[in-house]
Parts: sequence; C-alpha cells; structure tokens
Amino acid sequence: MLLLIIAATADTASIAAAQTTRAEADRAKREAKASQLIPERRSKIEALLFKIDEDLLLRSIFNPPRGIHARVGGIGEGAGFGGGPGYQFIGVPFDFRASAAASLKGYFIAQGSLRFPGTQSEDFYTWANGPYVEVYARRRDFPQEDFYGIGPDSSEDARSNFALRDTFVRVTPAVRRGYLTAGVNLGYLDPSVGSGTDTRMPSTDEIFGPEEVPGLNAQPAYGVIEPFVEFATFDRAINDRAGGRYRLSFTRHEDRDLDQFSFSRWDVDLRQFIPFVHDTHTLALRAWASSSDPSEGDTVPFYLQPTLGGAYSLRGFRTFRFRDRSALLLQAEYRWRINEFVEGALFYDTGAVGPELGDIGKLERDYGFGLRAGVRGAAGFRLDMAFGGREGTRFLVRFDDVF
Amino acid sequence: MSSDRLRAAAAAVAAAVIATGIGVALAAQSARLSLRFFPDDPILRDDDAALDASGIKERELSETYDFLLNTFGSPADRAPIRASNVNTLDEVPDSTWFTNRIGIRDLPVAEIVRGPNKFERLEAQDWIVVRGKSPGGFQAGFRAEHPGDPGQVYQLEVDPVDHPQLATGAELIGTLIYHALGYFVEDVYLVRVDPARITIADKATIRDASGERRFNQRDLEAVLRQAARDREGRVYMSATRFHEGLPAGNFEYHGTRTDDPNDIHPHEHRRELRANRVFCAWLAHDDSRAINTLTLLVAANGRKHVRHYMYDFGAILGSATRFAEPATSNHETYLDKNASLAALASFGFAVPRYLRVARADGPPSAGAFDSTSFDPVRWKPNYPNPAFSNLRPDDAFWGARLVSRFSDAAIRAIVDQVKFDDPAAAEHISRVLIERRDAIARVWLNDVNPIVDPKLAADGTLTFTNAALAARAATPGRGYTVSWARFDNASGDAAAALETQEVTEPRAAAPASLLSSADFVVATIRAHHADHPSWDQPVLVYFRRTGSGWQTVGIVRLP
Repeated sequence: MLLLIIAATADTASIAAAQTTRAEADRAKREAKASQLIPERRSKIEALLFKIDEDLLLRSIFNPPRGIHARVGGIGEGAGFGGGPGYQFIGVPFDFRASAAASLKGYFIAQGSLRFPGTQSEDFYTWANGPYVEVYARRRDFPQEDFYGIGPDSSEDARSNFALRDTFVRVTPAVRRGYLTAGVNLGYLDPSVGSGTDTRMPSTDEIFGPEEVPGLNAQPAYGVIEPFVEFATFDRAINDRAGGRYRLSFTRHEDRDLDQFSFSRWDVDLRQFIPFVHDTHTLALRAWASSSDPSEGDTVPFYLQPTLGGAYSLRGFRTFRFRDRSALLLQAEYRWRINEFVEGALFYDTGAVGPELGDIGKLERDYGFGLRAGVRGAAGFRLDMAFGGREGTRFLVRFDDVF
Repeated sequence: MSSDRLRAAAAAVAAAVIATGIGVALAAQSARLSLRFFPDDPILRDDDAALDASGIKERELSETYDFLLNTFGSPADRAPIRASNVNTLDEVPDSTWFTNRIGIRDLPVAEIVRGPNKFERLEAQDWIVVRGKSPGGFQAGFRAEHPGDPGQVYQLEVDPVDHPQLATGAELIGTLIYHALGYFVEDVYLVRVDPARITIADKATIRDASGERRFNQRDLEAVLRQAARDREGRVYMSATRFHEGLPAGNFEYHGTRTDDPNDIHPHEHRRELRANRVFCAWLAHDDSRAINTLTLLVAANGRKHVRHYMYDFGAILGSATRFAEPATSNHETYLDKNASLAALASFGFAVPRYLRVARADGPPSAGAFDSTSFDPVRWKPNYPNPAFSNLRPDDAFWGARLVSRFSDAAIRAIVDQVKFDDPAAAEHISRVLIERRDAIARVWLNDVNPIVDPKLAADGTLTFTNAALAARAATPGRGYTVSWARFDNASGDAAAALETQEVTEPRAAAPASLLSSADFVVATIRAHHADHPSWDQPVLVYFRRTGSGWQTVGIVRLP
C-alpha cells in the first residue's frame, strides 16, 4: 500500500517539491524541457529559401560572377520562350561573357563579349569611372521575323515572315564619368535574309518583291560606325521612380559589297521618370525618334529599318507591325504602387513610321492597363492589356519593363 | 495475538502512518502549488541561464522564409493572454533577453549615451579589411580590424552618398535607445575614415554568387564609391564591435528554440518582444523582424546560455540604409491587403491618409522621419510580426512608460552623439523623436488604467502614481476609487470589499481592521477621467505583510 501511495504520487511530489518558490517552479519547467530537447532544423522549404537568400542560389544559376550559368530568354522580340548555357567571368582585369540560346520557335543566338577593365559587379552604380573597351561578337539565326510591308499604311493582312541570319562583331572604346557614358561602336555586320519558316503565313519573298522590299534579295556586309552618348540619372538602387535616361546615337552603315545599301541613321531615345505623391506614383515618359538617310542612290534595307509594334513600343499592334526608314514613338505610363511588389500602370502609346520624320502624319495609338511584379520598381513580370489599336485587343506577358 | 501478527499489525500501522504523513506532506505541497504568490515573488530576475545550453547549434533564418511564413502563415499562438514572462508586478524581470534600465531608475544621461560600448571613444584611424559583408547585406560595408584592438573584428558600414550620416546616425541612435530600454545590443561607434588608411589583409575574402574569392581593391572602391564623405574627404562609417560569444543565429518572434532548455516562454508572449512594437513605432523601425536579431552562446558560471540581441538599426529614423525610407514604410506592410485592394481598385487615385498629410521630412541626413503622419496605433512593420500582433494594452502601456522616461535632454544628448555636420538634422531628429514619444504616451498611457508604483506604508497609507499624468499625457481626472479586501493567498480568492473610498489624489488609507487581521490585502483601484474611459478599468494591487510593514507583491492591470 505504501509503495502504491508513493508511486501514485511520486511525480506530483517531485513537481510540488520543486515549486516552493517561483524560481524553483521555473527551473522545473526548464528541466522538463531539457529532457526533451530537439535540435533546431530547417524544413526543406526553408533550407531551399536559405540557399537562395544566403548562397544567392538563383544568381549562381542564372547570373554568377564566375562560371557556367543558365540563360533564359533574351533572344529577341518574337523569338518565343528559349534558353541555353552561358559562361561568364566578371572580374577586375576584364569581364568575359559567352552564351548561346535557342527558342521553341527555332531561333538561335550565340554571343560573347570581352570588356577591359572588368566591372566586377552587376551593380552599375558601383562601376568605376574611366575609359573602357568592349569587344562583342554575335551570330544569330531568327527564322520567323514578321513583316507586313514598308510604310505606315501596311496591311495586317499582308503578314508574312522572313529568316534573318547575321554575324556581327564590334569594338567599343568608351568612357564613363558619373552619369555620362560616351563612346563609339566600330563594327562589322554580315546579314543574310531567307524564307521564313512560320507555316501559318506566307514567306515574305512569296508575296513581296525586291522592288517593294529593299534588301530582300541581296544583302551586303556592312562596316558600322556608331558614336553615342548617354546620360542616365535613373538608378533603381537610389530611387526607383525618379530620373532620366537620354541616349543619342548616330550610326553609319557602309555597304562593303553591293554599293546599294549605305545609309546613316540618327536615334534619339529620351526617357523621363517623374515621381509624385511621395514617390508612390510615377509618370513615365518616353520619346524615341529614328531617322535613316540613305547615301545618294542607295536605299535602307528593310531588315535594318526601325520598327514599331510589340511589347516595347505600340503595344496594341503585333511585333514589327510597322517599319520604314524613320519612326517616331511617344509613350506615357501612369504607374502607381499597389504594394511593395506590384505596380499598376495605365499607358498610352502613339507613333508612326514614314520615309522621313517630316512625312509622318497620322499616328497610330493604343492605350491599356498593366500590372507589373518585381522589386523596387524593376518589373520581373509584366502583364499588359492593350486596347485602342485598330487591330484589336492584345495581351502581353513579358519578364522585363516596357522602358 | 502472536508476536508475528503483532509485528505485522505494527508494520501496517506504521505504513499507514507513513503513508498518511506523505499524503499530508503532498497535500501541503499541493497547496503551495496553488499559491497565488510565492515567497520569492515578485521575482526581479528570471534565471534563464540556469541550465547549460551548450548543445545548441547555430541556426540562421532565411529572410524569404521568414517573410513568407509571417505574411501567409500563422506561426504563433494568438491567444489574447497576458504576457507569460512578466512577474507578479506585471513587469519584465531581468533575463538573457532584457535588463531593466531606464524603466526602473533614472539613468544619467552620461550612462545613456555611453550605451553598451566598451570604449568611450573609438580611436581608430587605420583599418585592415579582413572580409567583405555577407551577400545578403544591403548596406555597403566590410569587416575590418584596427591595430588598437587586435583580434577584434568590426563591421563597418557607410552612408549613402546623398545622405551623409543617415544610416550611421540611425545605427548609433537606435543602439543607444535600445540599450537604455533594456535590450542587449552590440557596441556601435561612429568613425570617420580616411580612405587612404584602409588596407586589405592578404587573406581577406568576400563571398558572392560564385563562392568565396579574395577581397580586392576594386571591392573596396565599390564600397567607397557608395559612401558619403565629409568635407575633408573622410568616409562616415559605423563600426559595430561584436560581443564575445559563439553565434547561434537569429531568434524568432514566435515559439521557442527547441534546443534551448532555458527558452520556455513562447516568444510571441514575451512582453519585451510584444512591446517592441511600441519602440519600433517610436523609432520608425519597420525592419524589426527576426532577421535583425542575433543570439550568442555565452559562457558563465561554468555553463553556457543564449543571450538575445537586437541588431541592425541602420534602417530606422527614416533611413533605408542606402537611401531615405520610402513614404509607405512604417504605414503599410509589404503585402498590405487592404491598401493593395484600395490602390488597385482606385487606379492609385485613392491616396492613403498618411500620404495626404503635409509631411515635414528632414534634411538629407535625417531621412524620411516625421511626426505629422505618425499614428502609433496604425504603425506597421514591413511584414507581420507575431509578437507585435499579440500586443495588448498592458504590454503597450509597459512600453509607453519606458518611452516616456526618455527626457527631452536625454533624447537630444543621444542624437548629439552622432555629431551631425548639419545641425538641422540633429534638431529635426530630436524634435521628431520627442513628438513621437509624446504621441505614444498620449495613446498608450491612456489606453489602460495608468496607476503605477502602488505602495502601502506600515501605517496603512496607500500611495500610487498616475503614469499618464506623470508623462503629461493627460490632464488630471476626477479622482480615484479604491476598494479594500482581504486576500487568501492559498485559494487565490479575495473576500468581499470591506470598504470603498473615493479620493481625488493618488493617496488613500487602508481600513485598520483589515490591516490588523490579514496577511494579504488587495486594493482595487479605478481612475476616472471623462476623456479616458479606459482609466475606469480596475487595477488590482496585492500587498503582503512583512516584518516591517507591507510589500507590494502583485499588480493585475489586465487579467
């Protein structure tokens, strides 16, 4: 009986005996916990996120400073989804980048660059001031580029496609000083045009003749010289909603083979971001003008003419919907903060192409609504719905900003 | 009866007696178990270093996981219970989390501005970089040593070019205030460094997305290019000196560490963590998340225990470390549902109220720190913090009392430690801190019955203080109602009120008949003010008879 009584109350006795003071009561709780300690462990999800955070896992996969990486997208507008391998070394003496990518639509690009001195950082803001030289080379094969004809009156019904293949090599000596970068691109371009492979529409050479489409039948190699100057105060690291980017360039394409397609081209691209309501809203404005002037007796080949239409210009129209020797584009976006990661946008695009800027009369236009997801105003995902263009409503999904 | 039988009967009787004795003893222990107040109440120190915790392993949190968990999950107990680590006086005892400082005594200004620092001043001209900052770090900087403190690693961080002394000033001010409040914080010094006197150790490394590599001159230049400088070309830097101990990772604002035997109070129910919401609101510390905490495994008395630190104050007071804080910070969480829906549905034309008020942000060194848009109750961290979400009026009252104990002079002295080159910045930050302090006092000192420090003298005179009046957060009210009763500590029951008194001053006299016969008495005190209905909530104050008079052993402000 004694044993039973004692046994039955042993636990209570031990606890009770430990609780004659507050300190003892608390100690008893701690001793009870000490008998059942469990090592702290991250769950699988937390462990993965920790690797992403601390080991910069995504960056090490897609954009490491040194080593092999995966490349996703960025092949060209209209290329569709694609990707491929890459290698890069971002260092002090030099930056070297090389990658190749192919898309589901059969697009292919291989490119490489070497920059002296190196930037060592992806953060433009930390790049050193001073001179630099960059060598860039590219080979691309774009088999389904859309073409609707030249000029502002081209018809949507005339949609065709052509294949564009080119090799491009350039050397760029330049200098950076604060917001200002100036330099000159010295290049060699060797393009070729062929029949398009998109069977949903005719090939360009099936419905257009070379008299309508300069450069359709013959493509020379070009010497390219392009002085440029860029002034950029817009910096997401400092203020993601204020500042400007202004770029002015003059490009001379010199026909090295046929003496038919030499021309000069001016490009002015002005972007201004005006914040208001304590930087929660932004008025984003862009004006782009491009004008090509062929040499005496020459013409500007269609594949080097400026284009409008698509996710970055006239969003109410298909990619490359309009092309001519000159183009004018005006874009305005009212962007507002929805939360830390999402931004809304109401936009209006207007623009047109023409032989000369002075010939541009009636402007095409569209307007719409968009949502952008990203961090600090940089869109990693963009959904735009464009109305108002005369060719119907268009939904656009992209993984970068419009401008 | 044979002798055997006699022996058996005697044994049975003895057993019964022993059993009865044990039963009686256990019954007595059980009675003690139900005591409302233990003999050592109120405890002033929670001995949460009592057991050896040397078995714990470092566990750093994932920033993203912490965000997702607290934004979309419910990791904490949300029961609206009283903070579990307060003592019977409703105060936070000292522990490995908190040391009462300004809350229990008048801290000399000199002590406040010294903070946790080992040195009064850090005389360091030469710095040797030993390591780059970890990849996750947002503010530019590196880790370095200086010859005057051999073997000690400091974390040096810079100010943004256009905002000199913004982040470094915030770091120091936050450190000094949090230390005075009672938290553990690392040493922080402000230094101005001639870039020419920074060198790089041969073995210095930095980690990036491709792994470890040597820290080189270009890395140093990249940091310096992002750094504000004074007129003499020196770089403003904060130098954080890490305390001795083995890093054990971050602590979370919910649950307990499963590998720490001393950690028995769920963090979401710790008062100093709940009330940290008050301090964060005061200082615009929206970055107050688990990722900005530290724990160190420290040795004492032959065993090891975890010490809990608040860390990284560079993003307070309108600083976002690399730029001024966006206007939405401290007003909306990252994924604020209501604000998002309103913004989406209105195409951004429904501008929140806090953006419509005229804000008086300070000069560049002061950042986006204002008092005009400040509403202590509506203040929000970057994402939900479960301890903050559990804040009750009694927690907030405790926090507001601490905030209100920072005098104007103390606040100005703290801000002056930054030695702002722009005097307007010092003036702005001081003024806004004072105005926000007063706003906090007005709200949270009046949200409960604000009587504090009750004492019962041997002659039966009861005195107490009205904290709201003391902080000038309220005008005098109509007076107080005090009811007296006997209290049974064993059962936890109070007898019917023996006497009720109406007084206009915080003073009353206990009934002599009660004091002569009771070991415990309880006074129920209500305050009355037409503008503050919360004052009417009864505060129960328990007194225990001692050899020389009466000891205050319990205060219940909110059950």
